[in-house]
Amino acid sequence: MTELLQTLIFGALIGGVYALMATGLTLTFGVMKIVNMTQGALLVLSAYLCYSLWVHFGIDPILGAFLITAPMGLLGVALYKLVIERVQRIDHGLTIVATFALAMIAEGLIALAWGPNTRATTPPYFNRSFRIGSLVVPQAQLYACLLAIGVTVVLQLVIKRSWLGYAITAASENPEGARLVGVEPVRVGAWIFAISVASTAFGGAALSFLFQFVPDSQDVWIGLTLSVVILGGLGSLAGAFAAGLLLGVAEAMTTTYVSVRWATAVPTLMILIVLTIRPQGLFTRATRQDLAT
Amino acid sequence: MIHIDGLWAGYGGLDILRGVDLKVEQGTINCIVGPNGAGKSTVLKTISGILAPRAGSIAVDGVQLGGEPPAAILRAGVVQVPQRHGLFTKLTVRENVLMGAYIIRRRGRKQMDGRYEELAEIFPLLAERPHVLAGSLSGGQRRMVEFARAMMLDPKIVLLDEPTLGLDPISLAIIRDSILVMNGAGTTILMVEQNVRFGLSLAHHATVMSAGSVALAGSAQDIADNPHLMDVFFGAASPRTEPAA
Repeated sequence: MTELLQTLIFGALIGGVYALMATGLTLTFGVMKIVNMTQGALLVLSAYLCYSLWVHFGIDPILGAFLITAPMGLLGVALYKLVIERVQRIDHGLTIVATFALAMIAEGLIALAWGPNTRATTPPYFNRSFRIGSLVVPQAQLYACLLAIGVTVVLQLVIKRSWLGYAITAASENPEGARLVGVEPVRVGAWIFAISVASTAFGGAALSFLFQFVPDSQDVWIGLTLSVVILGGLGSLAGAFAAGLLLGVAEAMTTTYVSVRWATAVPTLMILIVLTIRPQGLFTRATRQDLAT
Repeated sequence: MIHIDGLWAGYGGLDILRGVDLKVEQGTINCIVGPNGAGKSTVLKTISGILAPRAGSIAVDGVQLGGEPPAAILRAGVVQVPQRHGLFTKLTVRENVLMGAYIIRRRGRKQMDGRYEELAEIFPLLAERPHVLAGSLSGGQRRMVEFARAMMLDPKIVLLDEPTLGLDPISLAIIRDSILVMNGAGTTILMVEQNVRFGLSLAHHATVMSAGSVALAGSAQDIADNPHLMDVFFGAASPRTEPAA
């Protein structure tokens, strides 16, 4: 029983981290139907920025995430204005190719700036744990999971309760209808990318103290974040969070009770099953398709 | 009120409108009818700023609005209800209607809520199902929400693009009543309608378009009685071919 509870705790905590990593992609993929292949590279870039703040100024990576949020947001606007918006005008599908190319370029630039060696931050809590009876709760995972909950709640409030959120929802679903009420889809697109890329600051911070990373670590993270977004249902932040938890728990259970070698295969199989039974994802509601836009 | 003179507009290399002249008087219901491809909806899209004119002018109360972005057109008091798929299906009824006031969102929530309550008296669905997702509504209900959204700004002019498209007879009657209510509140209506009988029975003035230009114009009754109306629909009218200066 203790082993099961411990596995569930580990799974849930790491699942929260996966959800945090996927937040930016949930917005761009879910809302704008843009598969932003730079998501992994942006996470790794954020991790390196937090690493530099930690090494040179002794700034805790979680605090560092708040410091790099604004610059990352500006990077998101630049990414949208200089690349995505222009490519989208030619062909929406080309955005995946363009962002893939950008991810490769970003990987090279990161390697130039920080070198190819493995890095990680080691704040005081990175190897400490809380104990609840016989159960262990790693502090680093717990803080990262709390960060994930905080980011998800804030973004959920922005999307569901603000004019910006309404405009984002409107412009992503029905650009011409949005223009007719005075929403400028291009401006909304820039906001989505600003928020999306800014949110990678928090995922990157968690990455920096939970995992070791190198410039090409992005390959792992783009695959995982895509899985979370698809499983959760496109565009659903709460869904992505729940999907992250599910994947984390599935991975932990597989590692404990089957084999570590199956740890990535079982969650992937789970995605296939879910998409077969419920293609819109686990946590999105279907609308009337006969009248849908 | 609306004064369109020699309007040319189109998509890509194709001119859809070829020198359209149109006048709409304040407080009236105006209907544009014509066969498919005549350019009726394009007239509305050009007025509302979705499409930029290539030549000619569009003035509302003497102010030139041709080529202005949609937000500027909205500020001038002109709102369009699109032909179909005008709602945002992932937003609730209330959120959809409030989006009609997006350009004046900084005036505060209290003013928005007050206007919503006023509109809920005209369109009961707003009071009955405010938190239902628009994506789950029927076609007629969606039209109601679209009309209410258009009225959020208390506009001078509402442009309706085929308001009866795909609706059942009961919804048709509701739409007719809603148009009359909007007009009764002093709003000028310019609508495009494929359902000629419906459009002309409701309108004070009518314009018949064919191949991108105006073929007939006059009072709705005169147009309904005009023996050449069917000729226009079946291709006897000849459009202009030279762009306006």
